[in-house]
Amino acid sequence: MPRIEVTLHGSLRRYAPGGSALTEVRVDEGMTLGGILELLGIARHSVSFGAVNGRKAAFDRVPCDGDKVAFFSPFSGG
Amino acid sequence: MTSYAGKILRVDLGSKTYRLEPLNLEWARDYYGGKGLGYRYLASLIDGDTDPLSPQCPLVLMTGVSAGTVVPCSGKLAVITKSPATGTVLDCSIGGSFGSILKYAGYDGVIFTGRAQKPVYVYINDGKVEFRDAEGLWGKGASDTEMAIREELGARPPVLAIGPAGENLVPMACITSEFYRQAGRGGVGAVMGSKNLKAVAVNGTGKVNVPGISAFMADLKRLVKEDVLTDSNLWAQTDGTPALVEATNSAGILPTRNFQEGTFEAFENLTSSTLKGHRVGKKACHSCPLACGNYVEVNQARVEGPEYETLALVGSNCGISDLEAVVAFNAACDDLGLDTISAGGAMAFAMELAERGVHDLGFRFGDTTKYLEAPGLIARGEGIGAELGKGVKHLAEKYGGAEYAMHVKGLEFPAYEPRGSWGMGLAYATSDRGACHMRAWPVGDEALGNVNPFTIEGKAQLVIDGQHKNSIKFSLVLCDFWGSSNFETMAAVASGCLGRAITAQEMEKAGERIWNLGRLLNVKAGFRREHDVLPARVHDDPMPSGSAQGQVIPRDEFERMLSEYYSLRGWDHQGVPTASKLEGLGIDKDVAK
Repeated sequence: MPRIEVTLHGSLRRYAPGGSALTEVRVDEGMTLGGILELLGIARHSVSFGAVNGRKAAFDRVPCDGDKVAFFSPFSGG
Repeated sequence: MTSYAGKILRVDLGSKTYRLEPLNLEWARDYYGGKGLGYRYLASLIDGDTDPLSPQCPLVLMTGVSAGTVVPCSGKLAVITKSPATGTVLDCSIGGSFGSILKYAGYDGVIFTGRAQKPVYVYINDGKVEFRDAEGLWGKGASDTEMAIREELGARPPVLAIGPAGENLVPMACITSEFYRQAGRGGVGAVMGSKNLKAVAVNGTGKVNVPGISAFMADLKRLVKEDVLTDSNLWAQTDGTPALVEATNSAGILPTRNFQEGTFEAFENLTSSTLKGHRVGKKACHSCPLACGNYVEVNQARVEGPEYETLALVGSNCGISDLEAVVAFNAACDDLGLDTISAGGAMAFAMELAERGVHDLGFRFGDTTKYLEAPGLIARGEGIGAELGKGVKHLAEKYGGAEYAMHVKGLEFPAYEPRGSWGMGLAYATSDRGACHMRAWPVGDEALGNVNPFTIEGKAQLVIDGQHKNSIKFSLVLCDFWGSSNFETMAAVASGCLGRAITAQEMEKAGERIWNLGRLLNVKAGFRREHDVLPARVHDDPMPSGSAQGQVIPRDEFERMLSEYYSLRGWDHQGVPTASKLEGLGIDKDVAK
């Protein structure tokens, strides 16, 4: 069962177990970024984009064991 | 009954006189307030040749229709003039409480013209306007100026102040309010300095009327719950703009070493998580439930910020990973009255000039020694600071390196790399005040969203939609961080404040009208297609790494995107609004000719 380190940014933190920005999840083989969001109970529309190991990744990307995944909430002009 | 105060204050600094005039209700109907109404007043006062630093050039302060009410995110003030950095029209939005208190004093706006013989500050105290000696304040930083005025007046009125940069007419000088809030871009501080106007203070004890208060409050409660305090906006409260550092780094668009790269190896030193370890307080503007401001202290350096733009332009874009140095640079710029975006851009350009052996101005990527001396040199116009302060365009003309001089029309790039978000390139090129991230922000859909960032398809319309939305948003003077606001929510705000049913379609059309008026004023100043361009680096140098690796915006694709943009707008091939377009938008004939 792959182990994935997930970081939730901005207002997404409230979905993290214990409210921590960083959480580790065990996922089924082949689970996509979109699947991880479902696992964490986060609606897709609450997320602007995901990243794997510091690079932007599509929601159908399947991360590997040990990968670092990040999800960002939507932003407006900075 | 409407929320307008119904009065405009005209101040002639040359004669130290003032007069009141009724708000032009016809213009207010079409342009609402803030940016749009400011542009309309500007159009009646300047022509294409007006020198931004001449006494004739007006400095306009304009409130929004909801200023002084409990409408969320409505505490800002619009500052409108002509830019000494670019020669274009210029509007900035400044946070704090000045706009609301100005409304309580009984004014929708203030128009300054002329030049005082000696430095003055103007105190607007309800119906009374005083011209006070500011010779003793001249040379002081913006913070000391605000403190001194508070002591002199024995009260705590909000103050707009310039630092030495504005006094010395530096084209990247800003206006500061409440110590840490800025009207930042395009040299508004230099326009104020050219008038010998050191500061403006306001005290207002009146009220703002809104029609149908019960329905108004019910609407607002719904909007706050359903559209403001939501996942789309709450990042501003939990993290503030530094949250963007990790996001843009992941998306490959964090400007690094003068936009040579889109990822920074030491980005973690500049993230929201790191800054939270140094956070010592929070701050909100008037009537804001989001409170995006963060007081940060790193050893001896303290500032409200740094905001994302500063972290990126003054940090990664200069190769600086030392957070304390970034905070210190930010604090110095705030007090001296300098725009950190343009200052960071100029520094980074100077660093690349040295790195390439083109010309050595004494600055190196990653070296904080001379870097920390730069804000003072720029603001006082001393030594190399006199050159840096004129900006990247000037530096490139004098020393070379035009192909990597990251500016549009003389305004330095903000912190989104367009090669990783092609629509952002079009937004920069067509912005009414030069390279700007606050006219349209397609990056939110592209690099930071799910729209393909590496195509021109659909981008012209995306940019147009954003420009219209932000034009009316900054005319109602709502904060950008009510990010989920749209034409419907803005129509609800405007309807509630003005007591008439205003539709989303009317909001959108007003946004288009305002954008076209801005373009028209720029066309009169000589701007055409040849000025709606990006630096060569964006077209020629593939991104070396990160999520945008290998990307450029090909020149022919950019030209197609620009042509589509003009066509969708109803402008000719040179980017000039056609007569039928202007007529259809109801832009006055005397302005349109």
